[in-house]
Amino acid sequence: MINKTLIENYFSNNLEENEKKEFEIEYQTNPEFKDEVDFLNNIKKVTEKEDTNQFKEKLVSFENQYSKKTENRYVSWIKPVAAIAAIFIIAIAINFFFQTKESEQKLFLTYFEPSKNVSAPIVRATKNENIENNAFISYSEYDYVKALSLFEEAYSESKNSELLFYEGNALLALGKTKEAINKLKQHLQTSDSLSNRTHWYLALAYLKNKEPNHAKEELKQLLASGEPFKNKEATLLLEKLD
Amino acid sequence: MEQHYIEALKTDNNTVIQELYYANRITFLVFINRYQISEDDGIDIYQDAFISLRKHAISGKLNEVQCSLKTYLFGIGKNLAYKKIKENAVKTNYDSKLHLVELDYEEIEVESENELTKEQKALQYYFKKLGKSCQQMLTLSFYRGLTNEEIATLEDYESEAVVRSQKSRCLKKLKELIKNSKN
Repeated sequence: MINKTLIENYFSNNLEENEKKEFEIEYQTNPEFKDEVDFLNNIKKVTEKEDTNQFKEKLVSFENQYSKKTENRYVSWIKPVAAIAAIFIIAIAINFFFQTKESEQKLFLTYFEPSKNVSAPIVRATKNENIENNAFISYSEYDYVKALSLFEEAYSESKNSELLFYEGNALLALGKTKEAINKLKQHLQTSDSLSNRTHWYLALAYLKNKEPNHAKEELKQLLASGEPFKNKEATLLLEKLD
Repeated sequence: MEQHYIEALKTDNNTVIQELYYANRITFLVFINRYQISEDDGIDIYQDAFISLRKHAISGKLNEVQCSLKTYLFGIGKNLAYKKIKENAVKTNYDSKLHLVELDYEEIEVESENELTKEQKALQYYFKKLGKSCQQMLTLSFYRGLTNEEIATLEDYESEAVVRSQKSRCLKKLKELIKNSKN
């Protein structure tokens, strides 16, 4: 005789303390119970393997979709009806694009790290329900989706231009490059203590968006401003882009 | 840790998992880049970290964790990056400085995947002969550890009693397949 409820609770991690003891005793003393549990534990191993393989496939498809999304933006203008000469020129252009694509992406990954919160000390574990404070908490916990909506809300209330700088950083971290560029440009239209730093992040955003010339312009402006922030990195990056 | 993310990983909520995957992808690759690991290897590590994260959600380990999902994911990434560095060091000169990179994340140990035993491999063969609905039923019951009530809700069964009898039929079928092969 097998206590099926005991086995069900065991596999769903729902055994009470007294049931754990009962389970142990049954397993040690009842061969039929032991055989059933061993068989189901083997099923657990097999289903884990199969389920994990399916999950792996799912992640690969997410990755493929991600790559397609970024590539489609660049190839949609290529029409099959183009003249042979034009195709030849385009082929060279595509070749150039793919050669530069990797290095720009690599440079972006090497240099980009979302800015630290240098504006407002955050207050945790208090009754502080201030939106801006909560935005910075989410930002410091790398929850950029939540941080972004809170920064937007906080900015619409306070018009504190520094928040645009963090919005731009969050967008860049989320891979929303064009939106990040627009947000950082909006920040540059104002003037605050983070304005010079914005040139650095805007340069990286342009780099990610395959606009190295714009990136160079921003780096030059950062260096010309005399801002010590990322001075060495900007000089190095500018050399690599020249 | 964010409970809704744990639930999404346990129940395979595609929308939420995809959102999580895309939301953390770039910052994870930036983070991994510090270990001088190629972008392709970085993507492999990101996917492996996601797989381990899901395993920890299913085993119940994440319920005890206090940090955010992102911090945990990056902690796993750190562990996998170290393993990759060691693996690469066999082929090239090992740069011990890479182990000293100052980072914000506490390393999360990830267990290596065990190979199936001979007996389990045989069982896997017959498991694959079951219909998709039985495979799903046994996966949800035994690997994901969902209760009959949870399966009924997730898979739109009429009641937990229906789940119970369906599960019983699937197990019977699997045992028959094995038994018949021996005759």
